Amino acid sequence: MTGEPTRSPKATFLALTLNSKRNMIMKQIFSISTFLGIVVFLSSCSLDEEPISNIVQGGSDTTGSYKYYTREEMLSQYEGIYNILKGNNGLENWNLDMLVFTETHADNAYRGATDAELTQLEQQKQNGINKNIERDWNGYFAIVSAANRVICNIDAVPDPALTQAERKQWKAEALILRSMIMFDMVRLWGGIPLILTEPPAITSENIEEVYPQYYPPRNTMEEVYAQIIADLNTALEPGGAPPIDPSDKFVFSQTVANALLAKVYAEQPVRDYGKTVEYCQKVEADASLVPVYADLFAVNDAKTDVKLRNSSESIFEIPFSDGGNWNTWMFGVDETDPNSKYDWAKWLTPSRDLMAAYSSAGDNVRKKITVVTASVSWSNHYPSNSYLFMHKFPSKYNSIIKIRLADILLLKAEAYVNLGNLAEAANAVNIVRARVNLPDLSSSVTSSATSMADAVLNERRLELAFEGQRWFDLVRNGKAFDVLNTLNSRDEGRLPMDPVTEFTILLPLPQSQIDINPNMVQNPGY
Amino acid sequence: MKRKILPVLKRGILSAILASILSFGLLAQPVKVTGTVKDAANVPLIGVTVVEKGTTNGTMTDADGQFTLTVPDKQILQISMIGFRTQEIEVNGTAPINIVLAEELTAIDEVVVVGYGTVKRKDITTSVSTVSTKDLTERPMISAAAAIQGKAAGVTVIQPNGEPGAEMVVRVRGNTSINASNDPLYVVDGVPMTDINFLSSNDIESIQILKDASSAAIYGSRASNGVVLITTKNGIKGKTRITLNASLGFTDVVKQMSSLNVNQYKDLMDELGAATIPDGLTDKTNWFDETYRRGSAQNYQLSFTGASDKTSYYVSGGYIKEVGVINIAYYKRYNLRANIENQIKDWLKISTNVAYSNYSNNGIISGQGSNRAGVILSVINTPTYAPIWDTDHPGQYYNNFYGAQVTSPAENMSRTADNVNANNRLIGTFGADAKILPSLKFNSTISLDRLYTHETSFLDPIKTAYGRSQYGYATDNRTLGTVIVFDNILTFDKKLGEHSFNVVGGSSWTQSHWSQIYMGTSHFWDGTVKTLNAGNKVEQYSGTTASEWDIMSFIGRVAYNYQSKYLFTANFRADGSSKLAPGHKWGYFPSFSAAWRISAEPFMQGISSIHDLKLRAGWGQTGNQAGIGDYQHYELSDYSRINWWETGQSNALPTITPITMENVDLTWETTTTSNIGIDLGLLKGRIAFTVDAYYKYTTNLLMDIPLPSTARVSHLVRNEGEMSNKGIEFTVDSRNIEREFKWQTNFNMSFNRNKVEKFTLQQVYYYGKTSEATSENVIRMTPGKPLSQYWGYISEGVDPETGNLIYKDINDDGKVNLSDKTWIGDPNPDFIYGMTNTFTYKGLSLNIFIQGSQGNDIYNASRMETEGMYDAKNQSTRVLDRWRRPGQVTYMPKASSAKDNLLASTRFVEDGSYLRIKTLTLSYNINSRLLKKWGFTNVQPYFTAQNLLTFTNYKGFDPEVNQYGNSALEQGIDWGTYPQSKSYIFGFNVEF
Repeated sequence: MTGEPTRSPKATFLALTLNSKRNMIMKQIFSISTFLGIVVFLSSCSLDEEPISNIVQGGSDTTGSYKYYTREEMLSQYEGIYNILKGNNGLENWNLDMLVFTETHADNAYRGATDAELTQLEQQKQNGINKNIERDWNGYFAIVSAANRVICNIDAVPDPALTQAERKQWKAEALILRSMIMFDMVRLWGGIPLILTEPPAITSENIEEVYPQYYPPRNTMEEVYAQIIADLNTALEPGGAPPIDPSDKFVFSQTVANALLAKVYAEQPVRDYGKTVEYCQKVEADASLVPVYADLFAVNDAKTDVKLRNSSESIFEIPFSDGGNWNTWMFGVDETDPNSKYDWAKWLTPSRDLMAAYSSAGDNVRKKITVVTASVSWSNHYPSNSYLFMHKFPSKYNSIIKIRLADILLLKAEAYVNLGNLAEAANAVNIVRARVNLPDLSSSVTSSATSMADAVLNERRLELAFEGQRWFDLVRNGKAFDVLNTLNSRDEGRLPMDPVTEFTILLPLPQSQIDINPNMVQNPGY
Repeated sequence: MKRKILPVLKRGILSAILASILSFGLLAQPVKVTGTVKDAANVPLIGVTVVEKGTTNGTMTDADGQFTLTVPDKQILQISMIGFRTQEIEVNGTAPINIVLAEELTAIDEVVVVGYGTVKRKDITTSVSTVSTKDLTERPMISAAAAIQGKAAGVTVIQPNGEPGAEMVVRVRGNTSINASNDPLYVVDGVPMTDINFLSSNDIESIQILKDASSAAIYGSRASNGVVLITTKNGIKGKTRITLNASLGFTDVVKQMSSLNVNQYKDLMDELGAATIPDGLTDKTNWFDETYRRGSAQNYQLSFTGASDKTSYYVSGGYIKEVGVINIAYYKRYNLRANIENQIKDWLKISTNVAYSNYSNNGIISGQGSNRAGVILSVINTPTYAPIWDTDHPGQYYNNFYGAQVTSPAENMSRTADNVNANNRLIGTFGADAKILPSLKFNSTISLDRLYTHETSFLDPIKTAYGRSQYGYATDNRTLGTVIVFDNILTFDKKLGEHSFNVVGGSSWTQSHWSQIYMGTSHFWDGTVKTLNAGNKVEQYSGTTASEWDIMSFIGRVAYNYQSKYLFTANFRADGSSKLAPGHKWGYFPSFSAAWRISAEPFMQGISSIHDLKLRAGWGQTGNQAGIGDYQHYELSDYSRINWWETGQSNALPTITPITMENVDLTWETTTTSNIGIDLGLLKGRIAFTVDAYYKYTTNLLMDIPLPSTARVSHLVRNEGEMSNKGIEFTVDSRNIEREFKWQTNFNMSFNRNKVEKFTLQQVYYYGKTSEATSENVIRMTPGKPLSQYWGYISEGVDPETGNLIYKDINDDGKVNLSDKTWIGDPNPDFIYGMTNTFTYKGLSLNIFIQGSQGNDIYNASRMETEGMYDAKNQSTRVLDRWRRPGQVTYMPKASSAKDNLLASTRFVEDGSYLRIKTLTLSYNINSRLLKKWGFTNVQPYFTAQNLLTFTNYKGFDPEVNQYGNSALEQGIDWGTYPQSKSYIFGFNVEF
């Protein structure tokens, strides 16, 4: 009989106990080996992870402040001070919104679209929650930070490939940018916090000490201007800013620094018109007027690009050879794009007051270049069949020309008027007028200081309309109250305006920044 | 023969020896007893344990509820099953025994899953809510989180918008965090994860919610917001089943708002002067009908489950599809699951759970005004004279609105019609349970959680105006995240007389790797090919990134139990995270809790009406690190590209810009919770009552602080503030009527008060910017107040002389400016409540679930766009009541482009209290012998209505909506939010 081998009970018992002992041993082997395996595995795990897609700068082995180690890293930051101007900070904050402050807020333009921010500025009702004011304050300080990354760190870069010459020059260019931005800010808001250093990272140990550096109070206007002048003078030291390059005006050159100094001395609380004239003359040596006014802004005949880039008259411009200037869409039609049409109510609609100024001056050349008429389907400011649009950015290839010679010539004229030299003032104005086929100023105008001052102011208005000058011109010449508080009676298309007072001549600081930083105090009147 | 006898003999001898020892003193003859066990509804119960009391001689009831057992006469049989009260009956010869088991309401012997172990409900010392999953098969739901809504005290679940597949927002005892996440930690079958979108509700066996720190602390650094423990189904011995659930439903939008017709619109435009509308236009399109349609929902789930002695399994698969009430919105999901357990050796059990889910959806542009293509608002804002298509340009949507900045809903929907968000999730767990000694068990589990998301969008270059301006635009973003968890836990159980100890210790390692690829191209010929190869210009932002994080944890627990009368538990967890700064990576989270079961005391034995009375108290600390970037403590810089096609830039390298500041002190948020609770059971368990009171204090709140723009980086993540939450919650479970007709009620109510206590650097924050008419922030956060408070002017009505709103001059300075703003509303409810009533009669069952919220305010920002009358957009018919001439008294101000009447004020703050009949289910268990003969154990058709009725004073679409649903900071804002809808669902569940 086949079958399984049988066992005696004793054998079974032994087998059972042996089995369970085998089981036991198996269990123990299993558990111990798993446990050991886990211990080995866990001891090899670490909790230190380095970022895969970002760079780590600084670190706990430094004082926590930002450090650049190689020339390449600093080169990236140096190029950054130019690149930032071609992005939103340059296009939106420093051009589009700046033009609203200088043109709509003054008497050259209406709001165009019905946005609350624009409406407030047209009506002189601006307040701390105005979205444009907030984004511009933030945007300008972002540009200051970009400049500071070069200014504060370039000397500490250990890489010898970064030469002494480069260090001085790059720093100078960054200082000029910083001064330019601070100049615009102090004119708009008054005293601003001076940010000249980069404080270290906040830790629980240093928080008391660094808190005022992160939450700075405002400096006075005088302190800000003093810093601007000091920075520009540093930049003008030998080996600093480069001389002007006729083929590339997108450089912070010595000419730019001179132009800025000219403006600063004419605008700061305690003026020095003599210095203004001096610096204007230095600038004149480096530039010359473009013979045809239209060419400054025009599109070429093939309608593929602008006619002139880096013109002889331009002192500092931000070029867009790639067609990246989207501001054109905010103001009108893009002449290089056949599909572009007037599809919404644009910003900066030219005002009746400005048109009247062109007419009474007999200035057809500049009127035709600055303003165009079109037929559209809305009628917010003008009848829909002849609606006005500003025309100094007719394509997406247009540069933003921040400083040009005509501005400097007329500034020189203004300085001469204030110094009492009316003849020289008239000479400068006439050069500008001649370019647009206007006759010289009549003797009745040039004979008196008041009428000469008005003439210069008016010439600036017509020449530099929609170029970011009008509001500052009015304030600098002490004409803001007179002109603006009577504007409603002169310009029927203007929304009813609140009276402009000494308190509302400056813009309010953004309420959000005051909430974040209790050390900053709002401008009185807001 | 011989072969067979000997082993039998041996067994027989041994068992005879055993039997004689055991049955010493008992001289009764064994009899063969048969019987049937049924429940109170006369349904046979399967798998009921029938055992001779005090022995291991037992069996289980079969598919007909019948059993056969050989038992000595006059012995006591013990009949028991989880969820029912154990019964005992004496054997009386061979007389058949028919038992009816009564349900155990509190089921204090019910086993509750707590972290890394299980506890009997009667031994729980902490605050744990169990969510009943009985009716889940009759309430088809897309998101498993919907199962929790209104069922657990202290847990709010809201659906912030009605989009199909919209994620639900779950909050346990209020919001404790500002910038870090407030979502609870979900643990599905032991695997921690942050979202459960993949989970089909049909697969859920049980849901427990660990609400206080003493229960959640075992999950340490991720548990500050509570822990939701979900266990999926597995096979039960004796219950081999094939189950099919199918349902089909229809959904409709609940409310309709009407807009002005063309004559009323022209009237308004002439008055306002915002646009010149020519005469003679007629109404052409009803935009409401063009946008909304009847939606549908289908759900099919099939599962196989069974178990033998050694193996149990649960395999399921399903498909769910919901088509939204707004054209183009849909959601669909395929899910598969296999849960298998095998006792491979008698000391080693292995188990594996594999779940795969593929879900995709498409949404609409919401939370935007109609000037930015928000669909919901454009339904009202688009004038009715416009046709859908432009007759002059076929293939393009009509868009000549005479200067109004608006695009039609048809055009807005078309902008996202080709978008798809697809997700593939695979979660696989493999575990081994080894019984080293009878009292010592070792469990090792490794799990893999892999999520692949693929989002594509396509903007047609011809149909829409925006598409034409961009020449068409397509994007493709893919992310792949893998999380591996490796747990090793030792459990030691020892009983010394009346004292029992349970000690748990172990470690857990979590590692995550995540990568993404994002690309966009523009400049397409047309909409024929929608993949990115057909676009000429590759967007500069395209690229890939990756990141990783790890957590290392050590866990310990000691639980002491004396006679289930005095209970004490201590938990400890140490967590280290790679996200935090060196020297601050480790956090330690202890917790203690104790309970006293007063009803087990001898002095309570006389009081028969009190069946269970337990007093619980606990204290613990938990942490939160969700919401911190993976490398947050570093000083990080990012790359921004230079346009290489510009002159002179052909070899340019990217600019490196700093984006965050180093933070050497970055560490966990810590929430310390104290909790006291009372569990009371009355009338032999017919009424169960639970009260919990808690106080949570969170320190080291992680906050993203915007630095002043003067700083070199724009923001800093820092442990900055402190916040408190305190509250009370009640739950009542009662079996009101228990005869052939049954009525059960579950009612819960929760009160929570939240307060921001302290900030260090910045004291005031603003949030909640909605309409671009004013771009005003409507929410202000500051210490001393709860989160998300509304801040604005107090509106005192319309001035009959001017038609403008009068804002209160609070500081009496004669001017109305920013200093006259004050606190105007609070979206946090005074209390929330939920009530479920179940009525059963024979096989028929009616289940009504009501849910509500009281005292919450809503900021109806949508009304700024539908009643604002500030530009050329069409408005709702409410503006027919507007002020038009001096002396007119009305509530609606005049039409004015000045927007002075649109400032953040009480005009837009509304009471959002509501009571909603959330679901109403009618089902019938068909109990037919015929069906049973064919093998069907259960056939249950049902009808469910969801969002049936809402009682509220809120004027908007839905008082539950919240545009920024998941944000603790911005609650209760209705801003062009996709409304919820009503649905009617027919379905059936079949088991065989």
